[in-house]
Amino acid sequence: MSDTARVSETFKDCEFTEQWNAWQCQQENLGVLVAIGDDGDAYDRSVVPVYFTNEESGYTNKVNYMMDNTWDGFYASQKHKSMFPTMVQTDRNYTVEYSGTPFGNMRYKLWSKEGAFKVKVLYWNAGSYKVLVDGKEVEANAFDRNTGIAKPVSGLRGCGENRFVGGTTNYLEFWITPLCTVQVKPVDSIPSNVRMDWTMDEFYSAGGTTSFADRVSAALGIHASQIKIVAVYKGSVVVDYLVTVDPESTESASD
Amino acid sequence: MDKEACFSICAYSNEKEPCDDVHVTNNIAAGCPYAGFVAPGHACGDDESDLFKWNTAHSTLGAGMLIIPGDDPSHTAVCYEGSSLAVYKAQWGSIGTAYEAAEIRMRDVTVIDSKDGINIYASDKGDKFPTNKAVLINSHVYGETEADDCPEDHDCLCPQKMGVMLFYGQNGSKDYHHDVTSGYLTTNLMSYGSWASEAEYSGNTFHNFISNTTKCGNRQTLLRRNPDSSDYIPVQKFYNTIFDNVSDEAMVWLEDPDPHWANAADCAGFPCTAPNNVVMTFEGTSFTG
Repeated sequence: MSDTARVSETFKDCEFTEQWNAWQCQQENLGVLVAIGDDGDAYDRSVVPVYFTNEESGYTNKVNYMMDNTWDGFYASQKHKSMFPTMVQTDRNYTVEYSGTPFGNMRYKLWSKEGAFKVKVLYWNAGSYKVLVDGKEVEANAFDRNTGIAKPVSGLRGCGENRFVGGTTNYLEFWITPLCTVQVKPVDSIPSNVRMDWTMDEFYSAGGTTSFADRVSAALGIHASQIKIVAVYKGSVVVDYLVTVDPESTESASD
Repeated sequence: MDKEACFSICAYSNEKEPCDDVHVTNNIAAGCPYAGFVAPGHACGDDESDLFKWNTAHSTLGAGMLIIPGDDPSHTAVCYEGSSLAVYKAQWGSIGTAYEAAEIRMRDVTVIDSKDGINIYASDKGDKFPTNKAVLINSHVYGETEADDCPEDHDCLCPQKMGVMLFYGQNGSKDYHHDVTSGYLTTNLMSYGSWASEAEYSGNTFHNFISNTTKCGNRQTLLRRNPDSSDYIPVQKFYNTIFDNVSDEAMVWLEDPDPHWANAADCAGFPCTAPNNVVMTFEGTSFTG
């Protein structure tokens, strides 16, 4: 594999061979994770550099978009395909940080024979996203009252298992396995926040997030499934939630 | 016009041409400026086809052979193949493709002592194919031979040499011929990498890359990336490969990204990063010699 500073030396059982300008590894957990932006402005808007990182190993891969290969008369077109391949050791989790607002519609694919890992995508903007595998939506992990956010991604539900965590931070996490394509799509939503003069125990003993979603949806005259709780935290009780569109009535405006 | 192939078979118009009852077998092309042969392949796995087989190209200034898709729609939609071919001492790509197809295979081919090596690029305009695969099967690739790259008592060329220029998929494709005087061959990539790009090498034998320098002192490498491959080099998967008399030092050379790519017309702030992310995997490899 390539000799890439802060990347190659973090992979286990690998040795640099100067005559190759490359590393030789005795392990099967190597592959390439590819991300691509599918929005209408994916050739015009820059989100680079894109940083793929793994904190434990010190892995930091700074990735660029693709070369501008077209000319508009005398000038370059300034169009770059927003596709980001990064070599990875496939038994580690990775964080993806785009230098601009990430594209709403994205795909990720892992090209490897072995391994599986969690991908954490940082978002600079509040929003709501759904994850699809093979065109089918993978339901986000259930809410965990102990942590006040959705349950962590463990991989037990396979490729596409996911959660979106909002509130003070915004990130999407999903599990990816070899040759699986994970598709991320935005969900039209209104970010909302309610502060209630309760204790956390009182909130959960009164039905917690389920009752909260029922009551808000009843007040708004919408289905409870359109209320997505993204975080619950002390203060006294603060609930961050999203009011999403009815999927039966309209398609996402971002499609 | 620059249509200078020695043989242009069902390819001259730069469009897929009917190629009924054409059989080009057991021919030799040499000394050709653009390509020895520009010729159609056959459907993958069609062992009966003799549309273009058992031909040899050598000592070409351009490519040895450019294998294009035939007029059968399945060639582009599914897979097409070139098989039972041989090329030696080609100055540019020995056997090359840069044409639209979900999968392009070269099978049972022999490539000897070439400058740019075998280079199979499958084009996928619009990223519409579920896969965009370049494959080399049951083939033999040889390093530099004893024969000089010049006639006796003449100055010799001294190019860098390679066996395989790492395969991949791209969004753009090449014309079969170039209607300009400065036409670029299939190795000159001027388009984005494709989303579904794959590269696979199965059951091949690499022979006699005995040193990482040629007789005249230039670099020789068995596996090397295309100098223009700025965007995406997919995982290079090698299965059941035999390295026969290949020295460790000549096996691979992975160049860093070209620092000149860091300009407003190419990759902007810093060089494109495909060369930083090349992974080659080997299973069932054996060594002889």
